[in-house]
Amino acid sequence: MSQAENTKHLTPQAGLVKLTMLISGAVFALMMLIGVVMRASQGGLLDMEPDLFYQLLTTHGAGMVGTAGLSGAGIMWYFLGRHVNLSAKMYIGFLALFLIGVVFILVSTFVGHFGGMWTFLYPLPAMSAGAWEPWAAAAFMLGYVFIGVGFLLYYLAVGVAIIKKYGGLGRALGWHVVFGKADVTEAPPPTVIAAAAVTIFNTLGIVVGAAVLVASLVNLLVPGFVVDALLAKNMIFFFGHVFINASIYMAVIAVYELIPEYTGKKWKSSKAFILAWSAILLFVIAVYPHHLLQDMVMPAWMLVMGQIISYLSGVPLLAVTAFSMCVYLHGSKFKWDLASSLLVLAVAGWSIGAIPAIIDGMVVVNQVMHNTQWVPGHFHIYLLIGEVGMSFGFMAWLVKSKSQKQSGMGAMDKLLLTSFAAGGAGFTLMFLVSGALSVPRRWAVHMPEWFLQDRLATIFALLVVFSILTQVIRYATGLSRNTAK
Amino acid sequence: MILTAFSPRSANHKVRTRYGILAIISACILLLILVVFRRALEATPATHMVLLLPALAYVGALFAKGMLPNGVNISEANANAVTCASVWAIFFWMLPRYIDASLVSPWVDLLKFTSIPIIIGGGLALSWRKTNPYLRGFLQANALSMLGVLAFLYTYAPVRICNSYLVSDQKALGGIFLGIAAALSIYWCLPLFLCPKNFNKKGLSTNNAIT
Amino acid sequence: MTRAARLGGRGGLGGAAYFLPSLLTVLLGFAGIWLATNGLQALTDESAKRLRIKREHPQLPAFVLQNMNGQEITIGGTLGQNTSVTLVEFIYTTCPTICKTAGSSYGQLRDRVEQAGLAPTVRMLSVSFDPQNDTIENLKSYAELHKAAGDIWTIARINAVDIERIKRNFGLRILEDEIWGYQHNTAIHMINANGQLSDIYDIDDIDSVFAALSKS
Repeated sequence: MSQAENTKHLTPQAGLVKLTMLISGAVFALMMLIGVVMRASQGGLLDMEPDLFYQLLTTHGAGMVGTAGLSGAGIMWYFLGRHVNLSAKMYIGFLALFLIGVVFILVSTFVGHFGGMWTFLYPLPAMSAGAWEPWAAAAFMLGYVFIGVGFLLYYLAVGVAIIKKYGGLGRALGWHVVFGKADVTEAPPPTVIAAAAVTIFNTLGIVVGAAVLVASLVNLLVPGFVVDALLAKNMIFFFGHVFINASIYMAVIAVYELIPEYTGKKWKSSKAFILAWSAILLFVIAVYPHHLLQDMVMPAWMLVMGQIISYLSGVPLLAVTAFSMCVYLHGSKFKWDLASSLLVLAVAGWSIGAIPAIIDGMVVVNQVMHNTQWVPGHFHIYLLIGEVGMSFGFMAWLVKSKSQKQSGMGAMDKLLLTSFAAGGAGFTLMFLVSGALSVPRRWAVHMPEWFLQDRLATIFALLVVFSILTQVIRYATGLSRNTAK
Repeated sequence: MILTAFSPRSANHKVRTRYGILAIISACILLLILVVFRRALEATPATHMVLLLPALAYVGALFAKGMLPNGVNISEANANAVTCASVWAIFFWMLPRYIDASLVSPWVDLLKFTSIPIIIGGGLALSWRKTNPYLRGFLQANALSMLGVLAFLYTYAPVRICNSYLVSDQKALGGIFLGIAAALSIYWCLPLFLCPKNFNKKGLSTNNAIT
Repeated sequence: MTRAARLGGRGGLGGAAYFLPSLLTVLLGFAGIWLATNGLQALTDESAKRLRIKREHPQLPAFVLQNMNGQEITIGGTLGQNTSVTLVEFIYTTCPTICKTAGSSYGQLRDRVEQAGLAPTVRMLSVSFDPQNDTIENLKSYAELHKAAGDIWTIARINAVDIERIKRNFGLRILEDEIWGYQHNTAIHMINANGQLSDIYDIDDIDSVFAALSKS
């Protein structure tokens, strides 16, 4: 029996995860279409009212962040199920609350015309100047509350399961190996270490996020309850930063668990691996002030901390995942198919995306660049090529049939991979080029001088959409073929 | 919550009964002190919300432990329900409207001095440990968030929430709520990182978990 | 291990019967809170009071006040009103903080009333609840500071003997604060032509007050 077959039956909720990935894939494709429409509109190819643009931008942001979280959660659940007993009912609760939240958000933006951005940054949602009613802003935030509660259930299930199996979060993080006397063979598997770290920091993020969401809702209901805008901004960016990081750190578990199937070498928890993940746990929590480098009123030490940790953040990521992957790939008979290629591409995209992020994390650069398209440039690299790449790599692996496993890459696989990689690279490069040329971000209407990059980006984005849509359809047919068997 | 005697009936049953009587006596003394000094404790929102109300809950917990030293035979499903009822009672007594009303109306004050010990203190003392761990975790996380919200609003908003109290006292209360949230998060989370001494090492495994 | 054993047990979740008690408690609890807060509208004493007044329109007894020129004027009661609506805010002129901003939003309201031609039907009063310290001279200088000429907006003070009745009828709570001033409800109380207390607004919510005045 191969390792894949050996472990597949060990994930009792595989069906739920497959459904999750189907939803994620479909929403990713839909949100990408919205992205294409926005880029085309900026490039003067479409005539769109700015109101609608901001509603689409809000939907795209909220939808992408939420779906990145959802697909990451699906991946982590699937592989963590190989190591601990997870409660299916908690997962169903998570999924149901997530979908209720999505409905609230869609109603808020498309029925209530909410266009106050996915960041719901106070006071914009409360002061729409008539563009939307307060209920629409409230519905949007309630949608976030539902999704947050869903994720809270998810992490409770994960945390309880991990603690039951490993005794405590400290052991699950491998601290008994690094700080205690235990031998490195007693270290938990990489998946458990990653899951424990993500559970800790994202639960913290959700608790803070819930607080600022409820405070903002109270402010919408009773406007007399003025919210401290700077504190709200800090809490929102802490929440948002932690949440989006968690989505990638959950998705990377697919790399830890699937790459060994291709190299034949197990991904081991070394001391460096354990230390790196503890560092990630700390850095993800402490680095969020790099989102607020333009806020002069912030305490200087926080901004300095934000910049320094921005530099440091890249180190454990590169050491743990990218470097280890290169070591594992080197000298092994690695079999390239669509799944493994997407996973390797995703790690590369994630690592490369960190570079413009670190550049933007410098105070002096940030003050010039942060309101340009440089910022969507860098985060689209590690979200589109990184997180989405990992998700679709995992999906391709889920529906991989035995015959394909022998044959590696078909012509269609190559076409899909190339259009995703080339389209993604070109699309994000256009953002970076525009950023370097000081094109502002979040503007519905662009000057004709900026049209060239906008139009090129639209073409590249269409390549990505073609690849992703086709992959979703192939995944869906693959699923129905597998269940039919 | 406070005394941890939940093992089945055993030889030290007598000792436990003696502790039970002690608990009831202390509860009575504490309740008496709270009733006598209630006006002083109600003078500021901080002492009212952070001393008087939790002390009343503690009175109820002591009574419950004293009268039922072995706990009650309650299923997890019912324990969940009792815990939910206690949480609603906590929610009710966080409403500024009824905090204000308890200072003006003796009936509301009486409700405060009875419902908090019985529903919150007694209810949680008997049900909390038997409550589903997911529900407990969910409520704990929400308690931290809501303390954060109250701290957030009370320390900044210019709105006077209780007509009986000064805005400056309200601000102080917000700061105290923040402190409590921080303390509770450490108190609740720290044990999660530690491995219990009696944890079975065989449970720890490498990659082959479920066999 | 069977699938059921893996999911059930301590920390697991059972069937529908398992959720029923909690679900019932949650629903009952929510219903209780809903009732106790008038459908989540009145979480504070102040909002509960406003809701009650808006619904019941309690009749105010007649109170005789003394204005900044030393003349007697009346609010409440069922007789002798020559304007249809009276707005009352309670102040004390030595107030260092909130009454100042309250005065400025009251001034804005006066300007809007004037511009809309509502002046004949609206009377605006700033009433001191501290007659011991607020002499006629103090009222006069307060009026000059806020340009309250007496045509629409008048400054007045209560009679010392009326303080408890005023507090009861208007639902005022006045506390002495740490800098020998007072904290009190800063709000705009609307009295209709029948001498009934008909509504209470936040002091800075002049949009709503103006809308109500335009309607009546």
